[in-house]
Amino acid sequence: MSSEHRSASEDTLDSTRRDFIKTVGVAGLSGGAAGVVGLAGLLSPTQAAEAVTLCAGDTPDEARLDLGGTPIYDVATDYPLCNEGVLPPLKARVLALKQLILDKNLLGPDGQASIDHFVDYYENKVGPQFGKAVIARAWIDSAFKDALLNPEHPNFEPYKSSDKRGPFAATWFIRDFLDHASSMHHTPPVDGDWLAPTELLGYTIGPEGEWLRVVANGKANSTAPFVHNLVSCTLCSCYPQALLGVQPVWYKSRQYRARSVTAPRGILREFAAERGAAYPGLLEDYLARVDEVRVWDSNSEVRFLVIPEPPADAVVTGIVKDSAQEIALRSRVTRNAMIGAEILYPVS
Amino acid sequence: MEGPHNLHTWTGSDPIPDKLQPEGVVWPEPWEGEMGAIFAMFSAVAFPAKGFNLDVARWLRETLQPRDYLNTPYFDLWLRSVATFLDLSGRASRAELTDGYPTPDWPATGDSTAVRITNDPALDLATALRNRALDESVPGFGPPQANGSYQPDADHHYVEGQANNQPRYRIGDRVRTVLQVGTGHTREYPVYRGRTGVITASYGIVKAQSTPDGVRVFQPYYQPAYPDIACRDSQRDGIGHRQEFLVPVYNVRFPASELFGAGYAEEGLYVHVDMFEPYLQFLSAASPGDLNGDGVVNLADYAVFRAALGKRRGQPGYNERADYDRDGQVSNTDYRTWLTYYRR
Repeated sequence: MSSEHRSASEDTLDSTRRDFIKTVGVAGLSGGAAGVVGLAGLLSPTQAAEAVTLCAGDTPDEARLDLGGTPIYDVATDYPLCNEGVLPPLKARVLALKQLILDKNLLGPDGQASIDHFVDYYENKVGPQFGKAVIARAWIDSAFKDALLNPEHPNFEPYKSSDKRGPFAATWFIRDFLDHASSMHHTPPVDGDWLAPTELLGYTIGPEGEWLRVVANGKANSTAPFVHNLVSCTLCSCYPQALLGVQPVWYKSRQYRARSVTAPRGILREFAAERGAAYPGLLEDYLARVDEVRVWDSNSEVRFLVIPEPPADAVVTGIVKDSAQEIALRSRVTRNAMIGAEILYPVS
Repeated sequence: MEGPHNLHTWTGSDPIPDKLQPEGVVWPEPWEGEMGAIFAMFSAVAFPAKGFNLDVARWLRETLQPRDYLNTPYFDLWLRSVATFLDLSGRASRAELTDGYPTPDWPATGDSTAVRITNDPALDLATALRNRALDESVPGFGPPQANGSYQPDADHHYVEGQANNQPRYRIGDRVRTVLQVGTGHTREYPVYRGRTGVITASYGIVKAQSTPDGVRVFQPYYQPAYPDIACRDSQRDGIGHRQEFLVPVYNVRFPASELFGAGYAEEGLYVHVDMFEPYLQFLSAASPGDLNGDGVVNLADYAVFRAALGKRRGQPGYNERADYDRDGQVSNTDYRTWLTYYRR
């Protein structure tokens, strides 16, 4: 395996990614030994020299923000007394593991092609655009929304008179909707039959979309409490990838996982404050209307999707299906709001 | 496993990182995507019948020494999981995993392209924990048999490999979650154990189906196996046959007061958690007189009661819904209780 593959793929790292890495910092970029840059005084000369060499990668170590905080390694050289010694950077270890797996053909005769196919799905095919299309349709079509929320009893043709019902029938309804939207060329990507089983990795709408439950923020009826829903996977990062793509770093962080079940309003407030000065006040107006916060801990293989309230300046009544106005509504939805960590704000 | 992977109620956290991650950023580094692909293919595509599944994968990352777990980035957890599986299953040698593996894609150090993937203490710990777990009880199944296999306990009646689609609980039932402490993998996290909640959804259970071409057939019911068994192999000397029990699954709603105390500051907070049937015990039904669950209390329910009268817990025909005083026997006292529901 030559190094050309790595160089080519990294040369395509676009400016969005580079800026993000530099200004915000992302977990696990250099992993392992990057943490020792700030601990040079604790290393033996050999380790320090090795660490400098190993850290000379493409990603600036100062931009690295670990999910769990800067690693604290026991860098003592007495091997039996410390658990690791210093392992190479995470990137090195991933490449080594991949090399081992490919050399042993553990992913079939062309393992790299299989890996590339998988990566391509996540980078170029799946993403929040599918969830946004579902949300926009739910906003303008109350029967569709009701079917998503009550899949055991869909009052929505053609399902009402069919046997397409059950706890996870929302996947059916969404699949049919995405089929339709795709045929109308309303839902990118449209190159090729992107809903084919080979494209969706064998699943009906994609990975982590097979057992889907949809919940909605707001009042179920005039006498019901106003509910805000927040989705979390406190153990790892289970997430409705089929509709939202790859989960963001914050969703996988121990900070989010730890606080999601005990302090959901605090999470909403923290996100709003990060957005800017105008947002916390708008969020407090929303929270004043909330009677109940419902946290969904995704501890089985069931995945949850939140239908957020439309932003205050969005028109959702009288919109014709498949119209330009419906398509435009999709851009008013955010990935974070479909998890419930944020609400949707007016443009002004 | 009991450990820092269960972070619920931990209050010492700093702010959530990277809240403004743009939606277009999938992973900032290509190799992270490759690690994700490797992990997903191992757990979902390459080895489901051969010893690695999502439950095993999650368990293997939990075997990290607690301090290391907290200091390990996300993709490193998955790397550890895959590497540990290769070790436990004998698909890679210890030397290959811990002495350095030739990696042309990484800059050489001197003359060597060898990169150490993991280390012996972590692999030894995972092996020891796995062996310990194979001796432990599992909710609904008790301790393993002498041959290492698990069989349902006297209170549960599941058949291995079949979809045991006779849900014991109904929407509206009040249930209590069981207590457990163990070394295996469970989806009943500590903060949810020994708590009283209400069933809000019943997901059923069915066996996965495929067309002759191997394409998945969609079914709107739960399919994955009970994790507490699925993460274990039933042979003590290597990854071998994995038992699969398909049990009904439910969503249970807990008020914050039940989880965090009556005076808990966050008002109107409810946590919804999925529960595999063995994690649950019956307390009471929303409509206690409606024994057959058809929505009305009438003589059809009397017939159900009559069939259970006199039976004790553990006997065939015992009906926990009819045992209103929960003394382990359906008695005439319980009959008088049923009558009060019938006469309302």
